[in-house]
Amino acid sequence: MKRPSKIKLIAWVASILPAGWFIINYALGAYNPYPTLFLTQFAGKTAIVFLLLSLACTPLRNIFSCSSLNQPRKVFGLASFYYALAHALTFLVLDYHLKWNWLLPEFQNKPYLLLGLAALLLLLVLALTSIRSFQKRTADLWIKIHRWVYPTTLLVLIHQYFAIKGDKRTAILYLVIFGILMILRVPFIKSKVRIKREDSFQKINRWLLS
Amino acid sequence: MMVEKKKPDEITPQELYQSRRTFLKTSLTITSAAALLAACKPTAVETIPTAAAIPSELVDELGSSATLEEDITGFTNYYEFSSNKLKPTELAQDFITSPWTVQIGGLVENPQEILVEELIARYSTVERVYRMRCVEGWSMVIPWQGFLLKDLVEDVKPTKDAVYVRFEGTFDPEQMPGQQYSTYPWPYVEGLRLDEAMHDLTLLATGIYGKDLTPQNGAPIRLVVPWKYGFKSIKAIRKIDFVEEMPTSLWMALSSREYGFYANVNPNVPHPRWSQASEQRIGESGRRDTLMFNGYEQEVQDLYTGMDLTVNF
Repeated sequence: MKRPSKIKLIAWVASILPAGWFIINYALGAYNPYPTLFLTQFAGKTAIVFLLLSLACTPLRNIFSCSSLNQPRKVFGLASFYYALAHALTFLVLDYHLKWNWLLPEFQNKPYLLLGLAALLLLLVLALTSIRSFQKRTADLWIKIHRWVYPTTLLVLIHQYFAIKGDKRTAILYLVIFGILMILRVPFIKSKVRIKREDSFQKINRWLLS
Repeated sequence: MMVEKKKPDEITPQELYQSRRTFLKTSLTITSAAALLAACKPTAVETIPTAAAIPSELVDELGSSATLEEDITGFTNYYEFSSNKLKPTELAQDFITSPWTVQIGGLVENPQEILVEELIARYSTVERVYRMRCVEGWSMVIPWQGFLLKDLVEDVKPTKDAVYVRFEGTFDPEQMPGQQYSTYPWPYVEGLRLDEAMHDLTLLATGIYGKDLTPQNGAPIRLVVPWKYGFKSIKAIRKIDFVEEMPTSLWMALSSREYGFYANVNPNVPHPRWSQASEQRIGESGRRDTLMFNGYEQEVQDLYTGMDLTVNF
């Protein structure tokens, strides 16, 4: 196997760091007496951050003309899926012990839970179809499927907005960031925000790709 | 009938009974630890259970043991300090609770402004082990000390126009970092109907586990209404007013769809965010069913005869 580029290594390490941080703090008892609560929120929030990071790759590549910045897209996307899965499993298994007599009514009377579930299933499809061979065999279909990431992100952010109690500023901030990342994809704006090619950037770019 | 009030100095001084309790607790811990140590191989030292292994005589009337003291004082909802439940413990530790005056007024014959120490000395102390059910779906069993709110109400003599009691928490942004932001309409406000305030279960609490309330638990004086969601039990009370109109609580002002005035624990009225049918008892592994009126149905159901509790949630 070919040695992965530096930018990919950095992305991998970055996606493992939050889990490591949580495990160390958990071992130190920092989330007692109710670690389930903290794990649910931490995993959910981390999933959102990686989803937005994944969506930020393409606009950043465009702005800085650095092809390397597009490479962590898949790693961040997969990280988002894994954290979302941990978030959902914490809720279903650690919190509710898979007791359906409690869980089913919750899904019936809380639409935001259904939004979260739908988003998780969409992320699962994106994760499963992210393997290279699938992408190569079905280029057109792959592009179509992976455009679902935009509505999926919107579902996730609405889910979070309704899950937060009281102070919604973080949820609104994420929605604003998502909005900016979408606007940066509009062709007219895309051409305006590109900054001048700098040699120093290209040097960093080559290093990241190596 | 004349009721003879004990002068404060006839009652065991607090430092004394506190030190007795501490001594008892410490010696109990030491004896059980020693017994365990003797029974274990030296390598098994880290398996010594601490407080959890000590049989607690503090149980509620349904047989549930009181939540560990360190959990009650370490895990709190106190938005005046932080929305993170572990942070108030540290952020509130220097919170000044003495001298502390409480203003009692509104539609009463005997309005007063009184030091909290004097208030505590005036009424007989009761000890109650109550379940506390947070609207967020977790719960604890807490051994309180305090006095009946009823005793105070009878003293200040509400006029016939008084229908509700309005409580106001302290407003002190310098000491309470959470109040530095206008995200919430500070100060904290809560309310009870007069008959709820007069109920035998309703306490003004001043202590937990035989000690004065910690700042994060609402020192120096807080409300405890065990059949209602925890947010009704306002902390660090500064003002108690008797009023004609239903008070608007802080949470009602923020989201009246989510938080009603009554806020009775009710597994049949779902909340848009958290489960009200089940709850996580802090210190237990799985969830348990939430009980109607938090298990105090027999005691309080008469207060709500004929009311549609899904409308008046």
